[in-house]
Amino acid sequence: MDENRIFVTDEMKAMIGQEAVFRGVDEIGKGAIKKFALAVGDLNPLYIDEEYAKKSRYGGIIAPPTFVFDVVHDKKTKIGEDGRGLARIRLPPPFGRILRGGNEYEFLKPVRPEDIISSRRKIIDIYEKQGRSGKLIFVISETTYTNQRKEVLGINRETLIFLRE
Amino acid sequence: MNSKKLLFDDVSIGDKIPSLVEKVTLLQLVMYSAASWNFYRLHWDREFARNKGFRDVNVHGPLLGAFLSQMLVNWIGESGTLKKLKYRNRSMCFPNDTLTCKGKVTNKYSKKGENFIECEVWIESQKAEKTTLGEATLTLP
Repeated sequence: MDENRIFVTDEMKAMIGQEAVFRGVDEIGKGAIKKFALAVGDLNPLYIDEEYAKKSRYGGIIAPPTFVFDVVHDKKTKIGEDGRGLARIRLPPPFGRILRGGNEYEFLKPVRPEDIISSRRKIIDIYEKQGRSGKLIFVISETTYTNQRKEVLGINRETLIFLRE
Repeated sequence: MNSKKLLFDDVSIGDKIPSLVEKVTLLQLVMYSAASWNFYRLHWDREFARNKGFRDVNVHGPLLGAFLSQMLVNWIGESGTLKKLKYRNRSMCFPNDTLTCKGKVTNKYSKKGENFIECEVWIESQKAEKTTLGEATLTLP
């Protein structure tokens, strides 16, 4: 394959600015917060102990900071045979392999059990770089998470690096 | 948890953040996959991971971000607020790795009535390799 070929095709460029909306339906609930905290191994009583949390400045249970970004809140999104959600950002072949290039989280409001979380993902940029073993395609996206009162809970700016499969 | 209230005046540039040690297990990755509704087999199915050319399943990237934020929240306590966390994973982590989250204060300033602290954060493997690099911003009373 010609190494000088320009891989950021018109098809890829057209993805810049595209948005996808994911709507949560259910309140996340104390149970989901507790399961997440236990999975991380984070036993901060603010996340798991109602009585303790009530007396804190938060007045009740809150979720660990990264809960809002890490959890797939729209449970209706379809899952493929390999276990990955089909609504993830994808590029046309041969760019099937993905590395995480970094995340930038902005925590704007504590997440509470009664929140119903939706998100809006926007593709900010797509560009290529020459890697050691070929071209890499960088996809920068920004996902904004809101609750049912339209309060912004947090923003996650993510870089995904696509490699040829 | 830090039971003593950490104040802005207590923090100096160059201070080390108390580290957090995590020994990751396959069980934890299964729990985290379920709790985050991320079922990618690369994180829990050893045969799948080996067929992809890895020696074992991979630790989820965001779990490493969760560890870093846990370290920061443990340090600042309930009166502090984590505002931003930026991180980048440089290498894969695997079950049975012992990961140590570390950090140090790089800047402090007051702006519009809020007291900001900036930190450099990172994760080291048992081989003293930095697997994750990052930066965080938080506020303190």
